[in-house]
Amino acid sequence: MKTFFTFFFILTSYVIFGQTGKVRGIAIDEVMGEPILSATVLIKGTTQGTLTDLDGNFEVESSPGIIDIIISYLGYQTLTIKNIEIKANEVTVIDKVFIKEQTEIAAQVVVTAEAIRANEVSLINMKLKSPGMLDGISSDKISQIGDANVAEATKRITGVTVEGGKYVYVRGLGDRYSKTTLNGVDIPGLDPDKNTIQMDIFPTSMVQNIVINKNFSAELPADFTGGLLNIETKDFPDKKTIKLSYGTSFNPNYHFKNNFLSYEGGSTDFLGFDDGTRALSPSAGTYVPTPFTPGVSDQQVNSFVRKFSPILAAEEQLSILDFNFSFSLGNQINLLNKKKEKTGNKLGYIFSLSYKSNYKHYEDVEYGDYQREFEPDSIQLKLANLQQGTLSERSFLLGAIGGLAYKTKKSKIKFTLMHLQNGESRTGRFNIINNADAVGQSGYEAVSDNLEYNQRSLSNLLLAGKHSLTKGKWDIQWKLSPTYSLSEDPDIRKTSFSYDGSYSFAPGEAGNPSRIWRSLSELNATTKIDLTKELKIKETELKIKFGAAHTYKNRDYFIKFYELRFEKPQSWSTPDANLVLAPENIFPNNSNSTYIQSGNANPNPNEYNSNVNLGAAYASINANILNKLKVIIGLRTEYFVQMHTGRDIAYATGNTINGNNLVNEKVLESINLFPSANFVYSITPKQNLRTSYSRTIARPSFKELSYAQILDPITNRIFNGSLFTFSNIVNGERVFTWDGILKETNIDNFDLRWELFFKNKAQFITASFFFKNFVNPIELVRIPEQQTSVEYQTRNVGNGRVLGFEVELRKNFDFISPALENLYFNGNFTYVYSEISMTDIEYNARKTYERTDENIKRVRDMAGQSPYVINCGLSYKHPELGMSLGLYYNIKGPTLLIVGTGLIPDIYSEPFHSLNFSYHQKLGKKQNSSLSFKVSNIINDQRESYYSSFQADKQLFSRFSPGVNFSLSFAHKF
Amino acid sequence: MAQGTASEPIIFTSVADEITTDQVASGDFKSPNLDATVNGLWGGILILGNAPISASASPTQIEGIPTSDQNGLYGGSDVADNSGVISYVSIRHGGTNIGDGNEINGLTLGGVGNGTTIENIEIIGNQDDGIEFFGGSVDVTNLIILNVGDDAVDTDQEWTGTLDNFIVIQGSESDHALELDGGEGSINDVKFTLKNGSCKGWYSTDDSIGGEYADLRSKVQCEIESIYFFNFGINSDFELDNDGVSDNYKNGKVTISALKFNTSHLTSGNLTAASILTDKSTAGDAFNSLTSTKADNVSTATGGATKASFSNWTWSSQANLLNDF
Repeated sequence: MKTFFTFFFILTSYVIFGQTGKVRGIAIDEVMGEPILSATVLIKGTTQGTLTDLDGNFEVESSPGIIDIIISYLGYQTLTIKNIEIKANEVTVIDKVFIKEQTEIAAQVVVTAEAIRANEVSLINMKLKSPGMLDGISSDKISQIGDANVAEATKRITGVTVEGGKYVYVRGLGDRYSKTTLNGVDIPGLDPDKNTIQMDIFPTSMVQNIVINKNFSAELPADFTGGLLNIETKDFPDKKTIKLSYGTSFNPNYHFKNNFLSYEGGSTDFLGFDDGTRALSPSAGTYVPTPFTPGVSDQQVNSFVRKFSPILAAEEQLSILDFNFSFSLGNQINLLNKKKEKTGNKLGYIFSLSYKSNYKHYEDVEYGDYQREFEPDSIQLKLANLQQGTLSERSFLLGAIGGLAYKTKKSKIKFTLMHLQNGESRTGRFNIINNADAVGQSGYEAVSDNLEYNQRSLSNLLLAGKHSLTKGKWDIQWKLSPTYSLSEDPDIRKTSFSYDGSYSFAPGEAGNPSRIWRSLSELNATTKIDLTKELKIKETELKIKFGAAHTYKNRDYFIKFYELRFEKPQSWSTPDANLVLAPENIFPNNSNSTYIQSGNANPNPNEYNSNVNLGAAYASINANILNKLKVIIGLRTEYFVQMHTGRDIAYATGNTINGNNLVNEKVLESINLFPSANFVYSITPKQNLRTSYSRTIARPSFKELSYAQILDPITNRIFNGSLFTFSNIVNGERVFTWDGILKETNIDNFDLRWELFFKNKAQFITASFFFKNFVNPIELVRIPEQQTSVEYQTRNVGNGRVLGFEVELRKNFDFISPALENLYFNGNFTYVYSEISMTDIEYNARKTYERTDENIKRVRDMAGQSPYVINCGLSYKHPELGMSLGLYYNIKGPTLLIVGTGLIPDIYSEPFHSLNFSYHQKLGKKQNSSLSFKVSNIINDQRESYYSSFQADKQLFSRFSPGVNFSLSFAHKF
Repeated sequence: MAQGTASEPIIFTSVADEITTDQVASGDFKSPNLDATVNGLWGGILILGNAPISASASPTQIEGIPTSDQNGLYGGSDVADNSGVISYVSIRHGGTNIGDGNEINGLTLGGVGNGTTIENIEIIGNQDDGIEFFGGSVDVTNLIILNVGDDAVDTDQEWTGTLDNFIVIQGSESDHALELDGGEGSINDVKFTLKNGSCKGWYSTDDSIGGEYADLRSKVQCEIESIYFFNFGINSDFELDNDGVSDNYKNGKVTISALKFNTSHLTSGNLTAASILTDKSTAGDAFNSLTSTKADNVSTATGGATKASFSNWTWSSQANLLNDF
């Protein structure tokens, strides 16, 4: 990275400015919403000028002063932009210029530079003109609002909810059905089981735009249904920018708390990775000597135990403020030939480094487990287990992105490198009450110390090219993008003292102390090529697209588990977890005599390798008929095969007859056709009617198609891979209740949308209906057969469908007073009815626990689908004062999270009222500095989910309080 | 089928146990290297049948077997189900746990029918319960349980059989001698019987460690007769845990007779049968009219198990642990 950095500075030093200034802009075809190649750009009254390149970009140089420029293109209206101010050694950016086709009425249009700069219609225009339904936010709008990172900026997009800086919900549909891509390429996120990217790592100064497609068309990957969010990084920054920003935030719940829980980590924790302090001793992977291992001396056992860190207790510390920092630079430079003349070729570069240090502290975390009573007239739920306490999180995030782009008039090559590094330690202390009267529970009280560390990294390389051939109007784009990601949990420590008058470790109760190491590594390689050809047959413009793509993914995963045991009768003076491995308590010393037992069978059932090959090809035709009707019809095909190497615990522990062992065997193979048809009918130039149909898919993840059993040590809840089967015995015959075959979900999508743009097109109203039919939806289900522990599995449930209605409004308040022209209301409301037709097994299980007066239906809510979503906000900006203000509100209705069984009720999320305020102020004469102040979760709502049963009081499944967060940041452009 | 004999009992133990078949054949049943308190070195024995259980789902997954192993299902409708014969068997040093609160008992009997024969069983040093019944109808005769980490005898899900002639010797880590639970499902009006038992508690002078006599929970129904208890802790009790079980007692669905408590080692705490028998229900009056035929105090071994049944083939007997009985 260092050499890369130096390289940038060498490049920068080649930039030679004369005593002239520049104007830069982009020429866009207003009808197609796409850049125009080879339009002529001239300075009025001179012969000085240029042609636009394949991105529609142009750059003209002029001596300082006020100039007009003229843009002309065959068959299009000639556009004159007046009053552009050119300053010496500076670049004036006039952003996007829309050019219309010539009509009989007007062959020429004149606008002022000011008018162009002030409008923020470019993306809204895209929304109007795009054949697909999309929304987005552009770099200009982001810089006006002052959002520091992509996650914040994405929240401004209508109909989109972002949780945890990365999880995207579109139209209330869960993250299983959303997808995030970077520069159009599928890259695994820091959370490799989700189709998502950590968005809060991208400084907005790196971003060209963020676009969300709400419906599928053939050139897009088929595995999204709610929305596909793409982050496009800048390749040719408009002008030289060096930006430094730093910020801090304060949350009364998190900061300056002297009971913030922590434990001693490694010396590089602040860089987002462990220095080896938490690593598993290499010998422990293969050989675990215990007092009962034949031929092992007491000393050998003792020294083995001492290889494990003796720190098991959470310690109280003071939390200080959050802090973040980012540095970014970018520019484009004209390349000169040997004679120091401009070649017309350009080099663009961007680089950014960002760093965040965060505290989170929840003093009132609660995890509950509740059951129904067997008697139908017992309405209220019974407590099975309750865990309450404090959970503190400390995280560090480091991100570096570098990009280099080379452009000739007709070709562009882009290269980006990215590395993200994230380390998070979680420390908790809990009280646990287990109720013996509940089914499957032994009844105990316990206190638990939990120490966890998770380190994740992601390295991505992107090489992309774009080539336009004027002859035959061909456009070729290609991309190559390998990514390597890692997620490791070294040394998860859990120490729970059971209490019954005295403290001890009791396996039938809160268990023995445990240590877990987990590791996930994944390689992902994507290649794709897209070709476009434009044609004009009579009055119909045609665009034919076709292309192919291939993705390969390979994942290795393992969990290693160790348990601490006691060779002598236990005696603990206090429930201090650090006593467990205190020297005097380690075997063979007299009291307690702690030793370590391996919990790993050989072969390890919690170790797997999976790989995926996905090949895709598509063709589509895009026709613009008489500027009235746009049609895109396309067909995509994807061949997907997932292979798995893994085994279940029965096989791993020697049951080779009934156990299962897969060695690179196919666990999912499908070839699918994904047709799509989009129609846009322009009722008037500012009014569209759209309708579309498409077929999409949602596939199981690696973890879901495995035999892995993944414990969350904090909540004691266990995820099971879906390859495990479950069965019932009916008349002596084994009948599967879950057959271990997890199928992909196929979805048919229908959309109808009416949209009306008014005034300067920055205001609009839209109304949409959508219907989606899900075949084999996958949902997270509580395993009914398991009653002792809380275990889940993803399963195909009965088929489902959603019917939704969405309205969206963006309007200013100039109807009250012209002074309120810049006060905007932005709102989006989605109402969705969803249902799943239950399988007989699920229906019967629910029926067994039907309450008196309850009438269980054959359908229920679909998991992950919120019944309503409201996003709305007021924004005000004052360009002269460089000020913008916003107040935003977001809520998602109660959503089924985990599908219950008869005994265990369904779990729903409680709506979270998110109210946020932002204030952004540009400072300085040139407005080169800016200050942002934000308050999030103003009403101090809590994140809650709960058990829901007929007429019963809600009982908590989980709760934590994110608190009110105040953040302040300062940025300066050099 | 696991049918040993009094002279050559079958011993289920850990690979870490250096006991040999020659040693057993010579009549020495003690482990040469492991104390009788060592536990958790392996799992346990689980017998799963098709007899009725009272659970939220039937069949259901047995405690101690991972959810993912479908061989863990038990429960059905065949009361006379036959799971074979287990006789002269010693189960030692087991009970490893597979997850918190999810552990393996020495002998787990899930939905085992009364066509099955289970007799002459010794369970030593199990990390969790000694024997646990999950429903079923099987009868068990001649059972000795030594040094378990949790409860010695545990019943759940409406077991309907009889446990006759049993000895419990608690260790320092032990919890209840008897932990008796009722149904969790649709069967709620059946009972089991415990008779002719002797239970030795773990007494510590400061009462800091040691388990309790008995805990009767949820809606259990049972007959408990002729049990001798001794050497339990100062505050140990024999309790009716809630209203449901208290009502069952008052309605004659839980009966006790000839319970003998020896508290001669104590000077304070629960000294009399009346103070040991505790009703934790709201009314708290179940034991108000206690008679000496139901429960009484004794100062020497009275009634209970016939220890001769264990004398030839058990480690407990060879270690002279039965002398007090």
